[in-house]
Amino acid sequence: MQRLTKKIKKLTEKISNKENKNTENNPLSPYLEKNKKRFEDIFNDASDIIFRELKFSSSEYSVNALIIYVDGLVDSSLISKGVLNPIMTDSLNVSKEKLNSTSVFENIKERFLAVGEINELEQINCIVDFVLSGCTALIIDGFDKALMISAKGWETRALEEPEAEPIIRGPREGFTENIRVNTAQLRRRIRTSRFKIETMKIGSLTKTDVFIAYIKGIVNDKVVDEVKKRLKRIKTDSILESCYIEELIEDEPYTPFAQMSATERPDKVSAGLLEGQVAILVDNTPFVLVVPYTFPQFLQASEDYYNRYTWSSFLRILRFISLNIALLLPSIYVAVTTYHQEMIPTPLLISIASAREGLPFPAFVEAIIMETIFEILREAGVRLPRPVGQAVSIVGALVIGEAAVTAGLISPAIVIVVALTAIASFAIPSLEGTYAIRLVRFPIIFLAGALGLFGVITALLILLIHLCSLRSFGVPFLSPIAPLSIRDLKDSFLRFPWWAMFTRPRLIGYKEPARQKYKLKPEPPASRNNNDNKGGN
Amino acid sequence: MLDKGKITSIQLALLIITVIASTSVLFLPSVIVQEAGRDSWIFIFPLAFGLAAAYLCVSLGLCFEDKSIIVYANEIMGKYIGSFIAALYIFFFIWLNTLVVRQFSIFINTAFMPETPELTFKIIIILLAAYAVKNGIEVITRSNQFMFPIFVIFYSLIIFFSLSEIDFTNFLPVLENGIKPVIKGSIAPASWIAEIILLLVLIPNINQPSELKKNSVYIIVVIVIIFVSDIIVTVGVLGANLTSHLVFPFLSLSRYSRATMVLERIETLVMLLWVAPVMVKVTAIHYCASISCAQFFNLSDYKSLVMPLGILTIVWSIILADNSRELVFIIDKIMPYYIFILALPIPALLLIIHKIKQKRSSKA
Repeated sequence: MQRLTKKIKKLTEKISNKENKNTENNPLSPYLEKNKKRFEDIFNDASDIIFRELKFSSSEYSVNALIIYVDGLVDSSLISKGVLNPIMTDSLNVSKEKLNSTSVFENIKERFLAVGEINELEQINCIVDFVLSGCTALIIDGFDKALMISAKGWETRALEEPEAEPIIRGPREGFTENIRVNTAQLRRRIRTSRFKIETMKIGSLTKTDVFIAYIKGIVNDKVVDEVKKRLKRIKTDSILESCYIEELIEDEPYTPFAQMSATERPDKVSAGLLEGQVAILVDNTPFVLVVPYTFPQFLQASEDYYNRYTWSSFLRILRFISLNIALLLPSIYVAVTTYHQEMIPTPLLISIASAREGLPFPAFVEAIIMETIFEILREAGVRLPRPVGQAVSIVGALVIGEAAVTAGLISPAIVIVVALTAIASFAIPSLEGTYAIRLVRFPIIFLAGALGLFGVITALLILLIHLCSLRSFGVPFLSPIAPLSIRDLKDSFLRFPWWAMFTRPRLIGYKEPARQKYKLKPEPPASRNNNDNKGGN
Repeated sequence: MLDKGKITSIQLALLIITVIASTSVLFLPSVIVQEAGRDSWIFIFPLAFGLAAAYLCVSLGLCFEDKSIIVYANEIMGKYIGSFIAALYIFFFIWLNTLVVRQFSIFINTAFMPETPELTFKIIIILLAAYAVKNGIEVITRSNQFMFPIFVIFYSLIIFFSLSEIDFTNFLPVLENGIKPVIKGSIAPASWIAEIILLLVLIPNINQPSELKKNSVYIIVVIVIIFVSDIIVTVGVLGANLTSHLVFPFLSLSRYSRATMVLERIETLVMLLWVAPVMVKVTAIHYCASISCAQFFNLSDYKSLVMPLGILTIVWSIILADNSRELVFIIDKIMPYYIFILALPIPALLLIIHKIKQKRSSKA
């Protein structure tokens, strides 16, 4: 064991050594030929790196220059229009006094490059990083610094409706794989200078952009600091999806419950930011992490806030019921049919008993088998290509539903139970919520099979203690229910109308608790006038 | 401080209410009615006693806001007597826990699952409690807070559905045999209220201790309301004679209430819901036992004591009593005297000596 840990330590030390090497001091030289040689060495055998030599010349003065960029990561029309064209053709018209060996660099930067964002860099490894992230490097002979021209442009997916979180009313656009497009979507919704986006690069090989977005003044600064601290702690070579980060920064790793939400919806993230949450955006994935996350958000869909509060509240109650069905129905069925038959009304008991006559398996085994088969069906349906997926569901429904019952392998009651459970589990809006519930269901069935309803209640108590012990970035997972905050219950089991939700969640957005004016409840004009008169008197 | 978790005084009040009410609701009517008959609802003695105990415990605890009685008993009484007092409390916590665990397992076993061995329930409840205790006081109070509304709703539903069955002639004539049997009968319930001495260990974890004085009165008042409503409904529906002969009158009461058409024999559900508060009770007492034990032996961590004490509790609860009658005898006739000593004279003594010492030092 000790040897193993030593070995692991040795291995991980190598990674950090490599990182140190990369940050060594290595400046550009003033000679273009030398620089070119060095870059060619670095980008040796990388066929997508383009080296383009050009000459900046007027009638009397000329200087060599080099452009380096990654093919496919830059907007080539912008490069030719904004960089190549001005330097190669316009330079011919420049009067001669403006051009000499000292001022040429500034001149090119200020008068010729028709591109928005330009940086000056001197370190070779920095330049390499910039080039690899899509910048174009312009190196001029005689200068030991390079101009980094930000003319990024690569093929991305267009804005689409997020497939995992569809809604009926509300904005339909979702995040994309391009992190800048994502921040733009957020910025379009929150047009205040207090909305901050801090950047960070994680991963020694992937150098993935990770952005931390929050609204200053609303957010709890401690949470922002904690997020930054935990992100800085990550020393890894690759971040390909936000889940990599999620598992490295969560509070409690040994749990089926996610302690941060991952969403594709910019409106959901904006709403979270406005309540004082912190968003963690990761490049190359449309899924944005939002912390802190609490249990009631399991039942919240972004559409709740776009429909009338009466309907949304009804939906919330439905979801709460379906959460309980998804969690408990199979285990309660097993417990009641095997241990507590006296609880079932007699006619129902007789029909269940007659259906179970001559069946080979006890209810517990039936439940476990059917639940497993359902999960297999669901997984197969997701993995297979669309047209084949439908075939799977038809075969599954027919064979497992119809044929197994007529063949006398399983009872019709368990088919109903499993189907209900499945439907109920799909009614939970958050993905991480359904995953947790569907996973926890199995141990509860086991306990129900062993101890009946007593086992079910034991499982629920374990679950409750576990949920109470969870925290998401310092916020208790079960808040606002335990610890209780009556004010925040307005947005948990029911969704109160907007004029009643005038405060932000107490534990998350306590710094600026008021969201709106206290009396926004609409009133008919007649009574409003009366009130005004009273106020005047 | 061994557990840095902080709770509000309301959370603590809810915890204490659950601790006291959970087992009492089930056993109270039969115990008190045996002595006091139809006058059981006259509940003055336990109320006065509970208020006195609460006052003493809270004012003693507030003198030492960040210490438990295990620590400051030493400071007040000196090393030997102080340690003796601390040991008394620790012994009591463990003993009380064995009583509750035994009550729980006997109840589930006789009324619910007679074929499963009693030991199963003991192990399960202790494992649950150990899991919660290891997570600290915050998690214990929070999980209680989560469940408390559910307890309240179900208790009041059962009371509500029985209201129509109450026959008030069951209470007449009032005080036929004088006040003596009433007081005699309420000794045991008063001793259950005295479980408020858990406060002596839990006070250091409170956020704003100053609010506790007010809340401790609420605790007693709520408990007395629960007790009295329990007695009134059981005696009113079943009559004094029948109540005194039933083992679990409240359970029989729930058979009367036909609240639903979907499920029959709702008492199974009542029993199940009873498991949760008893778990909270065992957890709270087990927490107090482990943390005061750790303080007594000056350990740096109380978590290593949780499982050993749990095993001790299981074994002790087996050898504690041979059968349920013996257990009822212990709860009825032995426990009250023990808990009276711990709830009234000792805190009073500690408080007086502390005040005298304070005065002397301020004079000097």
